[in-house]
Parts: sequence; C-alpha cells; structure tokens
Amino acid sequence: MILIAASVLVLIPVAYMVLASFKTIPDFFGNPYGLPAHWAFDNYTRAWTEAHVSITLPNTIIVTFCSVAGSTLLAALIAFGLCRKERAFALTLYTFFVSGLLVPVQMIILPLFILLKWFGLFGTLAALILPYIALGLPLGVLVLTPIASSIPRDLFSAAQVDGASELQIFRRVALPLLKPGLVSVAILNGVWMWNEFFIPLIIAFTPSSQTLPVGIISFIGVYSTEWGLVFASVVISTVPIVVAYLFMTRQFQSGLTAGAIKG
Amino acid sequence: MARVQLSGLTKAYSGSDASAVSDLSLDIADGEFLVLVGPSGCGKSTALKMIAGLEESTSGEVWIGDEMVNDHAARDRDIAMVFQSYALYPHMSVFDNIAFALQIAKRPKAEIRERVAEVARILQLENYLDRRPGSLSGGQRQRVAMGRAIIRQPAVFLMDEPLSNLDAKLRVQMRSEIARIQHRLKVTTVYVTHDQVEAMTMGDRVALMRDGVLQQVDTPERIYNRPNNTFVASFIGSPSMNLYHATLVREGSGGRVRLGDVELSVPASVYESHPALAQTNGAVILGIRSENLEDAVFVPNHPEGQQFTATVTLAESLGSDLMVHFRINAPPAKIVDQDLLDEIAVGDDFGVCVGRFNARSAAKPGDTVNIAIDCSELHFFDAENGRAF
Amino acid sequence: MLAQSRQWDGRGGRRRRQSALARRYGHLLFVAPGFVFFIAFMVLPSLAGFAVSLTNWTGVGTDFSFVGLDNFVEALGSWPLYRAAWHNLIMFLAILVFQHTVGLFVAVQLHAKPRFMEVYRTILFLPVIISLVSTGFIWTLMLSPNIGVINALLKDLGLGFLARAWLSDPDLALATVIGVQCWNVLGWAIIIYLAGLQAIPEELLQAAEIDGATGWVRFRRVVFPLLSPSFTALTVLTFIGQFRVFDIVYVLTGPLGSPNFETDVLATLIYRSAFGGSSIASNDVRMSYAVALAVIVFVIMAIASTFLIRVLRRREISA
Repeated sequence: MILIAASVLVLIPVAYMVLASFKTIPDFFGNPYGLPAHWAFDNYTRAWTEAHVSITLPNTIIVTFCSVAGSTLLAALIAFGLCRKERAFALTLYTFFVSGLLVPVQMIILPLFILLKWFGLFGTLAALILPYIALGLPLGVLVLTPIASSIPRDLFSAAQVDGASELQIFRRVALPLLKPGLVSVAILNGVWMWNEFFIPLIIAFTPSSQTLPVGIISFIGVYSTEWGLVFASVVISTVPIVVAYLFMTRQFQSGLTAGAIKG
Repeated sequence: MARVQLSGLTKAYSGSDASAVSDLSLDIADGEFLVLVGPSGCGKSTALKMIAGLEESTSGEVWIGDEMVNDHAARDRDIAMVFQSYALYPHMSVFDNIAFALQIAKRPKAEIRERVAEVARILQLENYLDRRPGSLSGGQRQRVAMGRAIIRQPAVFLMDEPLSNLDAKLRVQMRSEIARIQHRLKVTTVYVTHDQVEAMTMGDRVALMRDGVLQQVDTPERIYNRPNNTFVASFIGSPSMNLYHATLVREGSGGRVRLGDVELSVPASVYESHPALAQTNGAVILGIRSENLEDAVFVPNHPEGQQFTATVTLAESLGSDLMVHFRINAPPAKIVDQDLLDEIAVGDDFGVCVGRFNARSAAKPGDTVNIAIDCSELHFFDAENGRAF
Repeated sequence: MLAQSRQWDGRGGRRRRQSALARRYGHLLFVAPGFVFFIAFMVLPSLAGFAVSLTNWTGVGTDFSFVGLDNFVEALGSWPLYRAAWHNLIMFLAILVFQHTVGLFVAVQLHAKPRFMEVYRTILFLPVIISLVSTGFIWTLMLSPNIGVINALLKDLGLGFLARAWLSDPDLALATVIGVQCWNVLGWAIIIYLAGLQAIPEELLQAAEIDGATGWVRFRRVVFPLLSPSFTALTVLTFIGQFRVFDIVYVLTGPLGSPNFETDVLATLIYRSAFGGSSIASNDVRMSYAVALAVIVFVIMAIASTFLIRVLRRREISA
C-alpha cells in the first residue's frame, strides 16, 4: 500500500509534466489537471525552433558525451597509475584529486570564466567540456582507484612477464577489469553533466553554446506565460536520460549509489 | 634456453633491519630444474620475483644467459612465470589467456592458432579454449597457467608455488606432469615451493632457504642424506628428523653416544665418512631419521649397543608403515620454526621421537618396546651452531 | 636455442634497458593528463578565486586593489550570510529527518520483496535522475496559485480553504521548497538503505529470531545498528547537497530567494553578490566579496563534513 502510494506520488508530477507539454495556454486556466482539451503537438515543433532546442539538445549531447568520455578515461588512467600504495606519491595524489569534491563551484567559476576567455574558448562547447572533464575527475578517481587496487597484482605481473608494456597492461588488462566501475563513473558524471545548471548559466550565455537546462531558463524570460512550450522543452531534456535509465536501471542505481556512498 | 646466475642478490626493505633475501648466490645450469624451498617468509618468492624482474634487488646481480638483466624490465628478460594464484586474465577466454604473450608480440594469427592448439593438446585443454577461467576447475586453471608459460618457449620458467592451490590428489598428478613437461622442453626452471615433497621429487637440485639466507644447495639425495645443518635436517624429510642434545665420546675406532639414559655405540664407519667428528668430544646434536628406527622384533641379531627400550605414546598406521611415537629422556634440539609443530616438546627434558616401524609391528600406546636403531645412519651436528660435522 | 626463442617472441635480440627513473616514476605518466586538467580547471581557478577574495575587484574592469581580509570580515559580520546559512541548516535537518524516516520506511517495505518490487524501485528512484531544473519547473507550475494543479484540486475536493500561494507566502515558501526537494531526493534514501538492508546477512536475522527478538525489537536492536554505513552515507550526502543547493531554489523562488529572502540560501546569496539579481543595481555586484563568501562556505563545509564523517564512522560497526 505504502509503495503504491509513494509510487503514485512520484509519478503524478512526471505525468503532469508530460500532459502539460501538450497543453495550450487557455487549457492551463480552464482545465488545470485534466487531459489537454486538444493535444497541442505544435508545442514541440515550436520548442524545437523558438526555444532553440534544435541547438541546445545537440549541444547537451555533445558536451555530455565528450565530458563523460574524457573524464572517465582520464580517471581510469589516474586510478591505474595510483593503484599501488607503495608507488611514489600514490596516496598524496589520490587525496589531492579526491579533495576536489569539496570545492564549491561558486569559488572557481569566475576565475574559470576568465581563464576560458583567455584561451579564446568562449562561445564554444569546449568552454563547458574542459571544466566538466576536470570536475568529473574527483568522483572518477574516488570510485575507480579502490577498484583498480583490488585487481590482483599478479595479473599485472603476469602481463608484464607476457611482454606487455604498461600502456598495454592498462588497455588489455586493467581497463576491461575496471568496466563495472567505468559504467558507474560514466553514469554518475553523465547525470550531473546532463543536468548541470549553474556552470553553463555563467559560462554558456550565448544560445549557440547553451545546454538544455539553461536554454529553458533563458526561454522563460522571453515567453514567461508559454508554459506548454516550456514543458515541451523540459520533456525533451528529460526523455533521453529517463530512457537511458529505464534501459539500464540496475547500473544507474548501483552506479549512483556507489558514488554517493563513497562521496 | 639459458643458464641463470645469481650473485650476491639481496633485498632489503626500508624500515626493516632484516633482509628478505640476503646475499643469495646460485648458479643454475642450462636446462636444470632447481627447486627453491623453505618455510613461508624465507624469501624464496622474493628471490624468484627478483629473477623475474617484478621486484627490484637492493644489490647483487641476476644473469640470464650471458646478459646481466638487472636493468631489464620483466618483459625483456625472456622468462615465463606460473603464479601461485595462476593470475589468469578473468575477462579473456582460455585461448586468449594462452595466446596473450604472442598477441602482444604481434605474431601472425595463423601461427598463434597453431601454437595454442599444440599447447592445448599437450595440456588436454582443447575442449576449454572458448571458456573463461572462472568456469574452470582448479586443475584446469593450473593447466592454463602452465600453457601460458610454455607457449612462450622462454629461456627460463619461473614457477611460484604453482601447485599449492590444488587438492592433494591433483597436486601429485600435476607434480609429475610439470616434471614431465620440463624434461621434455629442457627449459631452465626455477620452482618455488614450501613443500619439501615437491622439492625432493621434482628438482634436479634443491636450494633450501631460511630467513633470506641460503642454507644448502644440493641434489635431493645429498640434501636428505647429508644435511648441512639441523635446519636442513629437520625441514627435509617427513616426519622430520629426530634431533636431541646428546654427548659423544670417542672409544677405540668408534665411539659411544649418550642420549639421556640410553647409550648407543657409534660404528667406526661413521667416523670414516665424517672425519670432522674425530675432533669432537662432548656435546653434540644427534639426528635420527625415523626409518632408521625399527621394532627390534623385525631385526633379529641386531648388535647389542644399537638397541634401546622406550614407552610408546602414540602409534599411527599408514597402512604401509606404522609411525610410532615414543618418549626419549633427552632434551630435544629446538628448531625455531612455526611451520614444524612436531617440536612441541613434552617438557624440556623429554623429546618425542618418531620411528617408522614395520606395519606388522604390534606396538601400541603404553607398551614398552625394544627398538633397533641403525647407528651407521646417525647424523651429528655441532651443539653450538647446528652445523653438520 | 636462445636466438630461436627470441625470434618467437618477436623482439629479436633487442632488449630495452629500463632506467631507475622510469621504474620509480613511470606510473606518473598515467596520472599526468588528468593532473594537467585538474590543475588548469580546478586548482588554478581555486587559487585565483582565493586571490580575488583578497581584493576589492568588482568583476569587471581592471581597477582593483588588495584589501586583505576585509571581504571576509565584512561577510562574517553581515546578516544575510547567517540568514542564508540558517535556511540551509533548516533544509538540511528537515530533509535529513525525512530521509531517515520515510526513506528508511519505504526501503524496508521494498526489502520485504513485494510483488513488482523492481517496478516500484525503478519508479521511486526516477526523480533522482530528473534534473533539479526540471523538477523546479514541474513544481512551479503545479504550485502556481492561478493555474496550478494543487490549488485547483483542493478547491474541487471542497478543501478550497487549504489553497495557498505556496511559493510566495513568506510563512510557507521555505517549507514548500523543502517539500519539493523531498520529492526529488527520496530515491537516494530508498536505494542507499535498500543496499544496506540487502547487505545484512540472513543468518544474523535468524540468530536474532532464535534469541527471541522479533518485529520492532529486532529492527531497533539488530537491523538499524547494522545500517549505520547507510546512515552515514545518506547523512553526509544530504549535508553536502543541502549546503550547496542552488538550482531548485533558483527555479522555484528566483535568485533573490523570494519572498523577501525567506528562501535565500548560501548559493543564491553568492550568486547574487557575484552576478546580481534582477532587482539589484549592478553597482552592488562585487565579485571579490562573492568569492570570499564562497571561500567561507568551502572552509566551513570541509570542516563540517570531515567532522561529520569522523563522528558517524565511529558509531559504525562492521557486520
């Protein structure tokens, strides 16, 4: 009973979001919680053009994909490099990377802003991707290093004896064995990068480099009463990640929990 | 294939006084099977890892063939290794596990297939090539680990306790299989084990280590029959050699040894084969192998001075033999070693002595039996430092 | 023979010497790429941020001078900082209680493995992956006094007297923001407690049963103490989350934490100080002051979370 009630409470706002995205303005006033009087599919086509979803959606996909790939790979390299305690600086560097978790974005956002301008990256997607990669590292290192350390060192020794270079050991032995951890890290970072709001709010203010969450916000200012359009955008921004979640529920749950419990 | 030489090999860890391996020198001939044996923590695995290049030496040199390989990474030493844990790559099929080294070396695909097939045939793994190691039994995994080593056709095989994770029966079977393969391939092999039975049965020569120090290197026969010191004597052989403090007195061409309240005559032949013994008069450590003790009933006409009586405390039947434990009123020589629990003494003045009797012996706990001892096979060690005479 | 075996492994007679340097520090090559990123986009900005906090720079122009700790002194003596921190604290405590009661209760229900357990779990975790921005929009609309579904529903049920201006009533706004967050974070509590429950060995519960402990006693004396790792994780997670909360407040009540700063939190205060809110004149915007606020928050959070982890870990037991 409790479970049904809780599930319904969770689902109502989600269903409401979907319904609202098909409503026209009069509908909101006359019929707040019913089905749309007539299904305004053009909310979506208008969101696509007028709310720049045609730009912000691909932007978000590119930014998330590149940042997740870059961050996960770099974190895996670091974890492999630091996985043996007796290696020089292993513990120091591990602590160094992980302590990045405590740094609030507000503290670094302005210098970051200046730095990116200085690099001439403003208005490009790289202005988001590069900081995201760096900001994704602490969690990646936190999750992957213990997993890498738990790989029996005999496996690395065996690969060494088999003639593999360190890079080959990483690619052919360590990386496949880190796979569950890599999935966790990718999901963990992917979810926040997809949903991140504050950083692109400051850094990506031109429409051409905006991501979905910010795109929706800036759209609000212009068409503040066009709730149907707003919700069409919200649905578009939510659907990809929800679909991914439904396909990989287990990995999402365990991946996010792994990060949360360690963090 | 190659000769392997170690000279003055030492491994010291910072923050610890004792070296894991100190000043180890060995000369292993091309094609030889050398077993490195010793109790756990004696440094044998560390020594092996230094040969492999997986562990850096503090000082000393490792030569493989005619090259000093200290500065060569493991992958450039032309060695293959079998690990105690097998270290099979869990994400690869058996085929890929065996082929990995060749894949890394970028050998042609056809050649890899052919060589894996041959190795699989030798090790009877043909039906398992598509499986992952996780779905194999212990024995099969062990064979994959062997396959991975022999496919390389390396200059040297290094084996780190490869059989210790198998059950007893399989271990015996694999023991002879490894020996057979090594014999066939004639690859220089260094084999580390803590099991003296493996050492005795497999090695051309046996090197025994203790606390990082090499105690003796010799053929299995010599290390058994002429142990250098009390440690070697007690480590090799099962049950281990009975060792007591005793007093040796010269008498004519022979001598007499007093073991508690027992007196035994030492034949002249012992003095002849151990000339150093002639200089001794007084305290010694006496060593008696269990097979040199026998129920006197089965040895008619045994010389009078080579018999004594003792009370049986325990009799264990092995089927082929009867292991009889009895008390001897002499202080046992303690070998400080946690692995050898036989040395739990019955108080300091008594020692338990184990004899290997004829299976038909009627000795049972509580009996007082007459025991014949083959005094020409007695071992004598210096009471001060445990060295053999 | 040696020549033949070398030919087999494809390296010929070429053997590489490995320098002691490579052996000892070779692994750092793997760390280097990430290190460069981390330094460039995390460490340098942090240090630069700290440096900025020691000046009176407004964020535009090049006109600034070193003012030492003035910004910090001013910040620590200003009322809005404490007001915002107080709101963060209330949110943290309220959500903490919610997580450890409702979340735990639902997790226990799920752990009993009812039919459709997987379905429930999938649904209940869903809000966690929906962005706070989307969550904010959904609830803004639902809570809207004119077109919102909640007031309309209350009226139609004859409970019109309960209808409120949820987000603009000064007495209700903070509670409403907390309520919305509860919807968003419940999934965390469920999944973390469920993982903890599943980690409790079955024999332990059976042993407790044999010892005569059942029902509530068993839960309180055996199960709950064994859930302490989950308790720690959830508490720390909630702490960090609530003292950093920004998106949802920004969407629900704006950068001013309206009405009348009733929902103002540290992050919106910093944002406003740095970039201005809609009704704040631009000459009030002082980047250096904002960064000083951020540094204060960083220091306090670092200390508090370390302390929190210490204390909570101490009462943990390993099963």
